[in-house]
Amino acid sequence: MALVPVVEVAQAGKDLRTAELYEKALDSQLFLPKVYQVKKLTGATTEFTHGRNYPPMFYYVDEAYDTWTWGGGYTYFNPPRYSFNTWRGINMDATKFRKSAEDWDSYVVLMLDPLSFPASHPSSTGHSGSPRLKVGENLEGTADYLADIDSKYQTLKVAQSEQFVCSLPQWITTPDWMNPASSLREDTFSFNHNLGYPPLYTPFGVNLVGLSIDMAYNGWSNIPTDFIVNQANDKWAEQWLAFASSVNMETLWIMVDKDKYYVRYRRYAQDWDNSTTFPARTIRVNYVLFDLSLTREFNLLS
Amino acid sequence: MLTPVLYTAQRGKDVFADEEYFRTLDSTKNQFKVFDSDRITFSLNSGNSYAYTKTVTHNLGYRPQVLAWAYYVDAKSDDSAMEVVARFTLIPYAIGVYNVAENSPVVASIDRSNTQVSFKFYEQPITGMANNWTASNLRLMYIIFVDPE
Repeated sequence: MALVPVVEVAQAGKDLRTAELYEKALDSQLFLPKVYQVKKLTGATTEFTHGRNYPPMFYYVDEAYDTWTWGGGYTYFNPPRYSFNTWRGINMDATKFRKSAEDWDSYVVLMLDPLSFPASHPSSTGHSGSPRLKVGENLEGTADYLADIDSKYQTLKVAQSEQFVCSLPQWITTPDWMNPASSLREDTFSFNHNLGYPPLYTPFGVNLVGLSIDMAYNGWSNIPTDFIVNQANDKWAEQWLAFASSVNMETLWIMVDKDKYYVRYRRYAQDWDNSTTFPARTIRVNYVLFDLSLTREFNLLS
Repeated sequence: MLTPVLYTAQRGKDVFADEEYFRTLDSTKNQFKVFDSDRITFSLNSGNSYAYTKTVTHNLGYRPQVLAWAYYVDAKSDDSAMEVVARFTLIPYAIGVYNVAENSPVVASIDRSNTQVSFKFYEQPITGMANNWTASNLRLMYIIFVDPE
């Protein structure tokens, strides 16, 4: 068996000899996804031919709208904010990425790594004008995506990672049909990331349509006063259609712009005859911001 | 103490003169690393009670970051039944098509703990839509990162 070179680098302040896996900045024995393109898709665009002969891994964001009104249409944030989106109309095969036509622009992040392998691997690509570091086994002539590390492609570098804690105050309201605003309250929490561009972020998968917290916890009365959004986001799909529908609703959005990371929280009271007390909550978001702009287009295979 | 670093940049970019976001590798920052990944083909049918779960035991001691994609199911063009669409979309998803008579919705979820990650696919029985349908050759691709949530 051929010897395989290995590159390992510990994170700042860690000793490589004793570091846990998650304390390493680089470890070529652990695969690194290879981002090769960020592509803007205008609202009217419904498909994009990606040029690979296999379906590549991808991530997708839409420009987030602020409000929508009958007759007024969508209003958008300034500066623009972006949010992950998915539904079955946003999909990938061996030829194309597809989305529906929308009023807003979108961006797709494409990774070289196949969702399913082609019948035969493509050849390795050239690279001129810059040094290139490739690490792996039998690299010569083999597909770039088989390399453990290939510096031709962008990695998912972490710019910032922390728990963002949002303190939502108690809200007591008696909804009034004559004053619809009395049934709705929104609170937005944010922090400055100082990156100068809207970054790829986590939690992965908190959708543009909003994360229904009452659905995730199987009913409004079951929502904890202190919860972690990442865990709630894992729950919603299994509660969909199975949960006990709620009189009151709470929904959460996550968005980024060039300056800030946002958590938007909406509470909606629907008991029109009685006072409702929405308890104070502590909302925790375990987030990561990557050193990768969602809106700066590039194609490392062009 | 001098600490060695490893920088590489996108083609035509300078690791020092250009913005840091042009760096493709930067050992001063953590890069997300894949702990486990796999590509799986499965079906939903009477043999598995219209449910399939892929469980990965990682024993990392924390909830890892995860990305996963899978084929999905949608209504045929004449709305007569549900059919597999051989395209990948990100999971989780929950898909129900109300004008397809007596065909239950499908759910794909990711369930994470400090020791395991489970990818669950199942048909969601609901009142009035009790008939289960067969979905063959669905595909799942997942990556579980070393990096904690």
